[in-house]
This record gives sequence, structure tokens and C-alpha cells, in this order.
Amino acid sequence: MDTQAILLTLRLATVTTLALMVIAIPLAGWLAFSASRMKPVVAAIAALPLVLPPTVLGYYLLVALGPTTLFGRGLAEMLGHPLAFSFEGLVVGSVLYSLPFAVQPMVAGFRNINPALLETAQLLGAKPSTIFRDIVLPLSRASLLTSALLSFTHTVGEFGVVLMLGGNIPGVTRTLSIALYDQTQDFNYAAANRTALLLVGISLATLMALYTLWFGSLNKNTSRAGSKLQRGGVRG
Amino acid sequence: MAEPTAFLRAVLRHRMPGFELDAQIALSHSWTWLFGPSGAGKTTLLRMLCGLERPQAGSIILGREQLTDTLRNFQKPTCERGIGLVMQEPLLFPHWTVAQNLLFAMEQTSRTSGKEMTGAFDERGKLDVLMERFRIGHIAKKKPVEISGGEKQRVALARAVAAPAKLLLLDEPLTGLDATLREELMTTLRSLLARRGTPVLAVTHDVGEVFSIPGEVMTMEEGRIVEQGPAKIVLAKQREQLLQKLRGDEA
Repeated sequence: MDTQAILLTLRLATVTTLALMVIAIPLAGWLAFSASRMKPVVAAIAALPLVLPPTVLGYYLLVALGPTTLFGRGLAEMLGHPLAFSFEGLVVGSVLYSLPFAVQPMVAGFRNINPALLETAQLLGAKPSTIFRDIVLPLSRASLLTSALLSFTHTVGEFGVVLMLGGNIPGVTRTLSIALYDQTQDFNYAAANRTALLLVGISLATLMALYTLWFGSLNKNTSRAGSKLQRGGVRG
Repeated sequence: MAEPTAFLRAVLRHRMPGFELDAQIALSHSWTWLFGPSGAGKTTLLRMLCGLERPQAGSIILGREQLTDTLRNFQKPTCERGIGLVMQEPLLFPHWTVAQNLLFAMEQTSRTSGKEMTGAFDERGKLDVLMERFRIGHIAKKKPVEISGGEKQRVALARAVAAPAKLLLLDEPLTGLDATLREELMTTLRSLLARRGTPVLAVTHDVGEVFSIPGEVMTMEEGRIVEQGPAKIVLAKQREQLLQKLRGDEA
């Protein structure tokens, strides 16, 4: 069993998920509540990894993070090694690749909160940041969990970006999906079988956890309580 | 008697499909009833006063403070206005207990007014007094899903007055409650607000209610304030007009 690849895959998925939570929560908050005209543009860019071939993303990252650009050189100087073909590089690629899977459920969850409840908080004197932290986030915990689990599973299943950006360095960039590709190329079907089964197992377990949450207790999502109470009619 | 000076002045113009608001108001009494049929624009007016909606044109001045001025494209955020609003549906934060709902309101205002937090002990004491006054002490640890509609409305009212406001707007928060409870809550609310000197603008459909609390009456029809003055005079005029209309219909 390729323990190194398993550990690396799980480590990558965990780090990516944590990074995505930090990045996606403010981004999703902005997308859900801002009145900015830039919203469609930002929303489109954030959703782009959904439709783009992963190789395109990997290619641009490879170029951007490589020694041919000023940005890549500066980054390499700072880290002491180039970001491409390193674990950190994979994290950057995975974060971008899984961004929509983190952002979309959050936006949906935030928007599902009864707007009158947020108005009530404003009337009590709460600032937008307080409302977001104390009311929006706790009421969207089901969506936040969904985001985290989807980001995790999606990163586990990532192939194209890793291949383009990380190559195949054992313990550094050789994830399970890359290992499987390798094993198949080598006609090592016994190993390939184990790897494939493992990937199915991890993904299925995560998704089952996700659906258990959905259909389970969190289905009674408190944020929906009172969603029928509209704004009290626009006119008196 | 000299006309008391107004503490709130507003000119609001707003046009929506099928509805036009064109209202000029000046409030000078500690209790003002806003009376009128549904669809007259009462709720829209209240929402503009507390900043939840922005008029297309107009200005709002509370005390010496400008809250809205469309000419300067100025709109003070709702959270900084210090105006409370209680709606017909009691909207409690579902993830918190009754006590937490009240504490949240207390904490927000102690921050916005720039005062130091009075400390957990004081806060606790205030909370207990408030819960006792609105008789919700026994449900302090319950979540909103576990309490009845009447209890929810008590909590919503208590939360709205958990911290002093410059003006309290009531959009028929007691409609649908039984008469005894209504009367009891109204008495509690009135004595508390009178002590604090918080003025009230309250929406009502109910003529009887207008006479229950002395104050001024403002009648609204089709987005306009048509009458303002003491209850007896304003409602007598209304009655006269209604009778005239009925007589006209008969003829």
C-alpha cells in the first residue's frame, strides 16, 4: 500500500480545506450581501474552475509561479524554493481548483437566512461585521460543513492540476490520483486496484458523512425557522 | 397652548409601481398613533424612518441629527440610528435562548454608545429586571422554537427595549394576541418608555386602541398623511367623512 501517497493526499486535502475556509467565508459573505456592481464579475471568476479544464488552471499556475515571471521569482526567493513542483504549490492550485465548491454552498446558505432577521439585528444596533459573525455564520453551519466536506472530497479527487503543477515527486506531490495513473501506466493492476478502491472509499465516506448531515439533525436548519415570515409586507 | 417643538421631522417621497408615498411628518408627542387602512404606506414610512429603506427623495431629522438626506446622498446606517422597531412577527434569533437574545441587544448598544461595558454583574442584573418586567424569566433558557407565539412577542418587545432608544416604532406588534395580554404588555411598555422618555410612533388599525393611550393621531391614506392632531378631533372628522360618504352612496 502506498502509505506515503495516502498521507500526502489527506494532508493536501486538509490544508486546502482549512485555507479555503479562511478565503471562502469572506468571499461568500461579500457575494451574498454586497450591492456592488462588480459582483457578477467576481462570481464568474470564482466559479470559473467549475467549467475550466484543470489543465488550463494548472498551466497558468505553472507559468505564474515559475521562474519566468517576476511574481514566481519573488515567491521562490521568499520561500527558498520554487512554488511549482512543491507541496505549497499544490495547495495554491487545489485552493483555486476547489474554490467554487467552498463558495457556492456558503453563498446559498447565507442567502437562505431570513433577511428580516438580519434587519432586526441592525435595528438592535449591530454592525455588519457583528451580524455576520454572530448571526449569519452560526445560522449557516450546515452550509459551512457542506463547503468543508465538498472541498475536502474534491481535493482528494483532483488530478489535472496536480499533474500540471506538481509532477510526480513521492512524498511531495505524488497524490493518490497521480499514483493510480502511474500504476496503470506500469500495468501494475493489482496496485492500481487498491489505489482506486481507496479513492472510492475516501470519497464515499466523506460524501456519506455529508448526506448524513443533510438528512440528519442539521436538516432542521434553524436558519430556516421564520423564513416564511416575509418582510412584514412592504406597505403598511 | 403653544405647539410643542417637533423632535422628528421628515419629508419622504417614493414612487413604486401602484403606490406612491408623499408624506411630511413632524412628531412632537411622546406617543403618536399612525392610523390608516392597510396599503396606506404605514410600514414603508416606518422602514424609512429607521433606515431599512431609502426614500427616492426626502430628508429625516431626529433631534438635531440628520438621518437621511437624499440631496446629499446621505443615509445613516440603521445600526447607528438608535431607532427601535418591533414588527408584527416576533423575529427572535433562533440559535439563541431567550436570555441570549436579550443580552445581544444589550451588548450592541453598550458598544455603539461608546460606553464601557458595565460588567457582567450589572448586565445580569439588568437582564433579570427586564425579564421580570415582561414576565419571561421562566423561559430564559428556552430557545424560540420551544415557546409560544405570545411568549415570543413578549421577548421581542423586551429585546427592543433592552437598551434605550431615541425613538421606538411599533408596527402592530400586539395584533393577534389576546386582549388581556395585549393590555398587560401595553401597560408594561408604556410605563418603561415614559420613565426613559422614549417617544413612540405606533401603527394601529384599532380605533379603541387609539383612545387607550393619550397622544396624537396621524392618519394616513394612499401614501399621504391626511390628518394629524388629538385623537378625538381627528377620528371625529374621519367618522364624519365616512358618514357623509355613506349618505352619498344612499342618495
